Amino acid sequence: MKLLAATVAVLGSGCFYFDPINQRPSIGIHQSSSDTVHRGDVVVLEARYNDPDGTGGTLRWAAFACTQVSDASGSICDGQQFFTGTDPTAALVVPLRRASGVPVEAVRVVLAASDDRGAAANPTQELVIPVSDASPTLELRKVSRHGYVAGIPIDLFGKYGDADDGPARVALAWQVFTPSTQPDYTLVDLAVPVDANDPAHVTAGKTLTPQGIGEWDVQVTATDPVGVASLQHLAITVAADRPPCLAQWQPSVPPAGATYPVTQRTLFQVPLVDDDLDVYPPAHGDPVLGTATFAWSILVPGAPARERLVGATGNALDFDPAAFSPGNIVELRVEAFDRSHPTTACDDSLPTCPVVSQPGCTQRLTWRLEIR
Amino acid sequence: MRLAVLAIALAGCGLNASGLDGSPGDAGGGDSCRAALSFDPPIPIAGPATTLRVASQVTDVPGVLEYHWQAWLDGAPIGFTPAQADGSQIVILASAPGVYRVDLDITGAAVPCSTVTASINVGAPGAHSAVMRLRVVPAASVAAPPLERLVEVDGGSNASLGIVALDRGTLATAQVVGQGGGAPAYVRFSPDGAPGAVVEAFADASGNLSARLRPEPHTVTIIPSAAGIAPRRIPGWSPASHQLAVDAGAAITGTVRDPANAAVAGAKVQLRLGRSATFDGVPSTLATTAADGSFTVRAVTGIAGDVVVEVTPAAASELPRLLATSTAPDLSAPLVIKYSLGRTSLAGTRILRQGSPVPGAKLMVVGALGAVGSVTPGTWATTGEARIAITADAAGKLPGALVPAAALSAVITVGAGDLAVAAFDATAGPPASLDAPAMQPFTTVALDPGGVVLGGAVLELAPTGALELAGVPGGHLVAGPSGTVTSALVAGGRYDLRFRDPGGRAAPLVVAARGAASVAASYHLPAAVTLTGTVLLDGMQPLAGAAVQLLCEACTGVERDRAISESSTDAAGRFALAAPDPGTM
Repeated sequence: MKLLAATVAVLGSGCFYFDPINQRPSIGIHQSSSDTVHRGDVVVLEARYNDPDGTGGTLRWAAFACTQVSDASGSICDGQQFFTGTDPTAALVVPLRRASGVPVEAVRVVLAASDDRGAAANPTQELVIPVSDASPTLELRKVSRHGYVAGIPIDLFGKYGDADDGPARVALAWQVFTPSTQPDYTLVDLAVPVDANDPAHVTAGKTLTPQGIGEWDVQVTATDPVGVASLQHLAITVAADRPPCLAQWQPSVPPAGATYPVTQRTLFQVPLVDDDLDVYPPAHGDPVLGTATFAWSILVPGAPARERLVGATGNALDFDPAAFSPGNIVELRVEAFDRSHPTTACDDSLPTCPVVSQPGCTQRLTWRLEIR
Repeated sequence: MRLAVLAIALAGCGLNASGLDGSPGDAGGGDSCRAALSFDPPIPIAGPATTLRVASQVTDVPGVLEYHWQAWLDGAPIGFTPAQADGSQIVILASAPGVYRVDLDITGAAVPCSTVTASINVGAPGAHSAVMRLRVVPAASVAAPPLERLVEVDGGSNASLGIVALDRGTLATAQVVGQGGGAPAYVRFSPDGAPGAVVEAFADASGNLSARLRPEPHTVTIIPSAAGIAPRRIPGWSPASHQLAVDAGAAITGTVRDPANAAVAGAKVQLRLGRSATFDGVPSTLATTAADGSFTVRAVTGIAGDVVVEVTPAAASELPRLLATSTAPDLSAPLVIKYSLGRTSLAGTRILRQGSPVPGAKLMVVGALGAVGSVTPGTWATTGEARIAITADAAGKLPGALVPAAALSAVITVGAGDLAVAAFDATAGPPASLDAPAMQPFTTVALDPGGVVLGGAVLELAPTGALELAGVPGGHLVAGPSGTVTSALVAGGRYDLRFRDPGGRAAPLVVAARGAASVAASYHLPAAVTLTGTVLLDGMQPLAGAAVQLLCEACTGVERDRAISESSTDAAGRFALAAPDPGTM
């Protein structure tokens, strides 16, 4: 930096010249990051430098890890700084522990400066920043392969960590808040593999099996050894098991007023049932999923009521028209059930049983047959 | 011909394209990376020294390419060795049969390359093969006709069927037109290329119908519901044609007389024309005999095949159903159908259980009879089926019902779900009593070919003989975790035991005509191989929720529609079926 000074020179008898006196710069520290500082946080500080002479200067930052009281070394702060710098802006990472191993409770920052002509700022600036314990971090998620249905397990995962205490020293507490109807539930541990690529975090798992519908709230609290806690909520809307829908059938069901002519032995079948939990054909290898069940019934001429075909509980029925007289009109009916719907809610006189909540879904089909 | 799948995978489009029997796939790709895989040999057979060379062909992709391979056998990862210095080819040891799949990721290209996937079936040495039918039926909410095609299943190895393309077909609109205009009817469309992929429709009161059909000629069967119009079968009908013409057909007349030559009134008479081993025939209209025993049906004559006359007398007549078959009937002259059979009254026969009468027992006396009458003119072979319902009185005695003097069976209903079968010979007069033993319990265990229990296996009890004639429904049982099935069978009854494993661990097993006493303690279901594939609608869109069935090719009648194995497609259109293993030499 170029020196700017006036020179006074003696130009004649009785006159003399002199250099003006170099003045000291003044400095200040401004904390531009959050006032609340935790161990492991990044603190950003800015130096305010002013030289009355307008000359530039040199800054010198030093930061020391401290405690509120003396540690085993007998000092409040470490003698060795953990940060040094010369830039106008200093970004320092608050250490977790002092050299003696005790947790850092404060940071002492010292800023010194001198101008280009060697004048040092006086006094040097000091800033003591209180440091708090770092809060645990907590992240929740839920997984269910079968939707969120009453009676079906939901896997819950809480991924947690703690910058200064480490995840191993964080305690996790789970609390389930049921809907207002207070249905039963179970919450059991779920083993979660350790992620070797992320040692800073641990994931804990629980399996929640809600037994009722409604808005469920799972509250998880992560607490570190000094009692600093982080709390997260997981809202789960649990729905009822929906009724099964007959999704495909053979042969065709005649429209109202028409009959299906049965001229030979015919296999009536429902190859496909759509359901959230109990499908057909059965799903394999999933302990949660089940199989839809079926009931077949028949209304024959002259019979007072529809008769359930005892034992016919498969998805197909071999119908032999020879057991009837040609010209007879026979109604053959199939209904599909699941674990939550062992019956249909429709009147027997209805040929189908539409599921109001699912357009196009029916739990029942009725073939009106003409024996030929 | 073996089934082999050579899949040529496309990078950049997100879908695999497969060709059968080594046919090349389309290696499209637009502006993105164009890459394909090929196998050598294209139809490999597993062996200790069998190797599969997999080569990648990457075109129009600038950059220094790096190849990252992975290989699987039936879903389990396997090793491979590089076969080119640049890594563009690998060699896999194919010592075991099954579906070999490779994935290839290409890096270093100037344009992004998606993972390329291809698979190939490696057959077992000396494999037997069996032809089966694959049927795919979309969910009712999807407007597309069903698909049916033959598949050849090779023994000893799982196989991929590759892409199964389901076509939406064309929306055919047609009108069933009779002499007086449009006529309501049931209409059955059977495509000539895949007769089993049937589409059914109902023409409304104006005869109008619409159906989504395969774009090919169909054989159409029309059964009008309006009186006086004869059912008709139309071969070679095109979906582009909008008319299905029907008419009154020819009048066929006749009379029905009982063994005493008295007119049989109220009997139902119907003919089937063109019957064959594989076709049940086109029905005539249905007639009811008048007081003088006369009838008139209308039918389309001149159809090649047998003609069958079916006479079902009213229940009060106590006459059996008569079926008469002729290969060359004369239908121009009135048919004279005359019953000639001896009959026995069951009056006084007592129904007993363990020596005690069964008051109010309900009987269905059934029997498959020989000749029960004659039909003239012409040469007709007649048979009969007896189905006579009788109810015992409060003392367990039967009223004076007449039954054919023949070997018969009584299916006795003692109570709900409590039945018994009593065989008796009515040729020598009525039996003094018929015994109705209690239902007989049985227990059996379903095992896989290796003797491992098959929890969740299904046992269908299909009644045969007397129970079948009486229309007794079958049973559906599911094995517990130990593979054990426990239930009760009708004493004296016979059943076909139909085992199947929904888990695909074994193939179905049918054990014919078993009574409770002859059910074995356990049954080993035969070995299965797994067939996999992907159903695409219009060759592009994965079709979820479609029913996929494997069906018998050689079967006829109702067995032709009974699934050997069934599955459904997942969100990606994929399915897996367990097929009976044809075995190896």
